[in-house]
Amino acid sequence: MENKNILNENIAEFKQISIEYPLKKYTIKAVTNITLPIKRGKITALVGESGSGKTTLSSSIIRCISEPGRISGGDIYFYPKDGTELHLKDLSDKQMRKFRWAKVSMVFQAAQSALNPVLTVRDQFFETLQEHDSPLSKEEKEKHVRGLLEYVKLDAERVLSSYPHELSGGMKQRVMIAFSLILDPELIILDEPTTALDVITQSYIFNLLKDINRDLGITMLLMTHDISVVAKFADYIGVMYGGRLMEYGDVKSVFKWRNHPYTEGLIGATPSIIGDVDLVKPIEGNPPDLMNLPSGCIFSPRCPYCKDICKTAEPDMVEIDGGLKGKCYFYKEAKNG
Amino acid sequence: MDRSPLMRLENINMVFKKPGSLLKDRNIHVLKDINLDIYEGEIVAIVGESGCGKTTLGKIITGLIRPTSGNVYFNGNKVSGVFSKDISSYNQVQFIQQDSYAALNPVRTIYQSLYAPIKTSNRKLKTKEIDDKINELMALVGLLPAEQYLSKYPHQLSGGQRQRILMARAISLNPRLIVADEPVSMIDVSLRLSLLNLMKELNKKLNMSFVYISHDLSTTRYIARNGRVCVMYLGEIVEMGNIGDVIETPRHPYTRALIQAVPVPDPEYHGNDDLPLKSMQLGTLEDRGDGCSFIERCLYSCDKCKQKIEHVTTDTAQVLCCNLENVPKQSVYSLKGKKK
Repeated sequence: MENKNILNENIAEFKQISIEYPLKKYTIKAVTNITLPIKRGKITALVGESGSGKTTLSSSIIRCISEPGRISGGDIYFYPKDGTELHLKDLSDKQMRKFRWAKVSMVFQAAQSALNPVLTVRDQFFETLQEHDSPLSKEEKEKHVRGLLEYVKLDAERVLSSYPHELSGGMKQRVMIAFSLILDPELIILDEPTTALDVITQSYIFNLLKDINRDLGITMLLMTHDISVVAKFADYIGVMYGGRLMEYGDVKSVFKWRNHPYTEGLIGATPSIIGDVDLVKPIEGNPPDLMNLPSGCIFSPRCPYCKDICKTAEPDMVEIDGGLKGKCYFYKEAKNG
Repeated sequence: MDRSPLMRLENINMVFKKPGSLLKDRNIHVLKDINLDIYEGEIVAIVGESGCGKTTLGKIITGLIRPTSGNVYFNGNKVSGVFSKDISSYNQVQFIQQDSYAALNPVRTIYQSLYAPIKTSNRKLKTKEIDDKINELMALVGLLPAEQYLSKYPHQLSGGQRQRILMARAISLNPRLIVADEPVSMIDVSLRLSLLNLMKELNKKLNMSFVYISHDLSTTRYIARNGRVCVMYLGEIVEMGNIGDVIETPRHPYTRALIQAVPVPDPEYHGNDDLPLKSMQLGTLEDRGDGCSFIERCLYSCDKCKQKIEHVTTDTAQVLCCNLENVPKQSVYSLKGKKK
């Protein structure tokens, strides 16, 4: 327990990270200068529309950015349980291979295609254990894997000898969750874990994830476009737009104050099952084109409070009381007014 | 309601055959005894989880597939799908697909995609007239200036724009009924609402009926507002009624679970996380008997559930359940805990 006091309260931290995709004629900046902490033991959610860079940002932790993307600036720090500090940029590919999944694992968006279709679930679990030099004997491995599958409330006997196509979408997603736990990681990245699933399955999956977070103390980084899920599930929220972090803070304050115009628009544009339907209104305009970003604040063309200054230069991240941070010239004023 | 319905579905059954063992095919009973009336100018929402047959029902309404048994009446006349001779009356029913990218021909420009159906429906029209019509349609769906979009190919447009094109194409033949199958599920959150608003506007302005198929109750509530909702479970309509009433006081055990599962965009709102369901596993569609299909997951099941069950009319809705007196009557929200 003593050790806990020395431990950094963050498990990982993005430090001014920029990621770009160099193409033949131009370079797309998918992520621009993001600084973001991931609090230990908590659930941090990244919300954003498609193309806002949330998947790119999170997959940079395990160096899984799809080609030809590369980190063009900044670094990612990781603080494992043993109290050391890892600079992920400096890891060699071999070190990264050991780090990946053992410390940070990921549940991918499409569980259907994340599992190898020609291997049974058992083979895939064993392959991963073997690759990471697991000291367990064969019987122990089998026991470990069964335990995990039962933990996610699956019938281990049946699932282990099944091929992915024999499982339903919800089952595959739960296999993926069990799979992400196999090496006892400290951080799990969840990339839209319930997009293709219906609400009842979604509810089960999130209850399960919440249990994992609470019982095993595993930190989670959730990416989603659905702000209702964030409200129900997450502790901290980062709102992304056009590759930038627009706002960051704890979920309750962000929802309560709605300081940033984009966050306000996003919450206001989400129909809810309760409350007045007439209060819901869309955000005007279209999401930004990453190849042709507007000058100044990138949200300015859609912002209802846009002033002259917003069109000339991009605002900096401003921090206010309570740890809320926002990228807007009028972020401080918004809270008072 | 005394008005005669625009569209009437009567005892629709849909059975798909699947090769099973050597001698016997397996029967997949996708839709079971569906009865549904759709009136002029109405928005009917169909909700349910994946695999409950909502898209199949949509295809039957648009005549793309023929039901195994049962009758479809449009405007009082019996119809038997697009492959029959009465196809011309059937262009008054149009379909908007879920995947806008797959629904548009990738090697045709938007102009060509919009031109073809209008020309085919009326060969006498001159190009000039069709062009005017297309411009009018583009203005109606909010894609202005039209010239900017017409010469483009589908891949050059964003998802929201493509969905608008689909909508323009669907209304180009002045239909009276549009079936929209998950039209916004692949669209960004900030653009969803404007598309839903567009559909509502078309419904009001042109008095078009809409069948809105979705798994998302929040958007359904937004678009249907005062319309009706049909909750489907394994090919049956388990509850049908005014959407406000159904969401406020759901009566069928499945509807209760479904509504409780919907996340509320407010972190202060702490609900009961445990859904009122016995298991998470969906029942089977194969070789179904007469009994209730929800029986394995239902908390309130009794002996009667194994026999044939009928719809019960309550003061708010029609519910397919034999044991309603045992199902709690209070709304799901009070169970979920009140907002501070």
